[in-house]
Amino acid sequence: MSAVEHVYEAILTGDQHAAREAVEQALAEGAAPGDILNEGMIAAMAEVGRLFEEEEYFVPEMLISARAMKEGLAVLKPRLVTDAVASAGTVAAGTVKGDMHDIGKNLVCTMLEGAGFEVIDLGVDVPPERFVETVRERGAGIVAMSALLTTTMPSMRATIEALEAAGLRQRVRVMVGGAPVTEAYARQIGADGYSTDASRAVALARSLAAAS
Amino acid sequence: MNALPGGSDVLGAPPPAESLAPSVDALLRRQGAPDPQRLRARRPDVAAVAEEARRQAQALAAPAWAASVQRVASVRHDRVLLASGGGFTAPLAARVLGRAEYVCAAVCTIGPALEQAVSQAYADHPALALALDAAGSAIVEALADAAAARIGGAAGGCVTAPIAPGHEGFPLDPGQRDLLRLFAAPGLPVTLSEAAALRPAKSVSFVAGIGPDVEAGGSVCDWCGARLRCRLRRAEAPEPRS
Repeated sequence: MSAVEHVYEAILTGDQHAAREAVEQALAEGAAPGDILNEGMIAAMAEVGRLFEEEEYFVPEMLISARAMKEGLAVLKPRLVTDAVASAGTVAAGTVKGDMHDIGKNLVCTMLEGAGFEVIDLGVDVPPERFVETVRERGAGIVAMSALLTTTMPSMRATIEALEAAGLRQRVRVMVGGAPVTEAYARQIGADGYSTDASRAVALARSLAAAS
Repeated sequence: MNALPGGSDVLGAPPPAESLAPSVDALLRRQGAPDPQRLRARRPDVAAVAEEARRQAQALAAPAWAASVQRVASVRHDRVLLASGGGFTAPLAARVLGRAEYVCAAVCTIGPALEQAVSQAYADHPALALALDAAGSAIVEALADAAAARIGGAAGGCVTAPIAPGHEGFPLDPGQRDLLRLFAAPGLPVTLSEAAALRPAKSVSFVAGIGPDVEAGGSVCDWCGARLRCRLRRAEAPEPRS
């Protein structure tokens, strides 16, 4: 098994210490940082997502794998910067204004990071103007919004309208999710995509990034 | 119907967290594992995380509750008016509470410590944070079930299924504000966010109708149009009631 395959295996099984050691070993053996990221880490997390969608893995296993990925990424990141390896895209993610629920949003952020996206986690209770500011100033190409309350869902529409008012809507893709949110609601408010869970949010973000 | 106390002492002391915490298998199922035994064999590390979450949840949860029993003055269309002047305007409230003599409102919480621990744990150990969050939800739901059971016992079984703001046909806002207004004194450290969500987040509120003519038992799922697709559904209900 190659060092990059060891990285893949460690992340798939969620062994964070093995992931760190495998990345160090792969770098020591001269593997390209981009290959370690794409063929070792992101490929492993893609397989984790596939296993989740096939109901072989469940959410805690995804998170344990994501933690292993994070551990390995901490070793790899300085080399990625040096080698100018491109990220999958930049996502500004947050739970919308008035809503303090963070677990679902955190899961999505974790899985997006695992898929190679740069995630700007805006936290909870995020007003529309903060999303706008992040798109404008930090160049996020995707806005990901979460809501767990029917009373806060309208803030998703308000955020999309704020992006339109700021003249930014054409350069950003908007994805939404959360327990009360439906695909029909996403269409109704003019979002570009909707996802039922964190794993599918990754696939959605990839397709939105590819369409940009 | 047994005699009901007029106020919050209908509930007595809340049960301890130890008696409310889910089993590790129940916690794993709650997180989406259909077969905990198989999971234990395949991923003992994941089962160990659930064990740890259960242990921490028991230590962090501080069950507390309050109840308010009030006489129903009138029911018109979607409006349930109480003798105190408060009440609810919601189709579900009118449907379920319409034939009640009394309404009992309850608020249950396990306090803020568990959710603070979840936030702190997420960065370093997201799986533990998720399991801890699930354990907290299970504990506060068990607390609400215990409250409903005590209310049912005090009412001699003449009590409706508990319903809550946020259920279909019972808007969260103003339902949650109307419900908290029924409590004369702030006996619990529970407040409402701007969006009408209970704070601490691991809190549950509900109302139930009491009286000899109410439709006793059942579940709110019986009336909910989302029951066939709802992941939070707690009871099978093949057809909705009309």
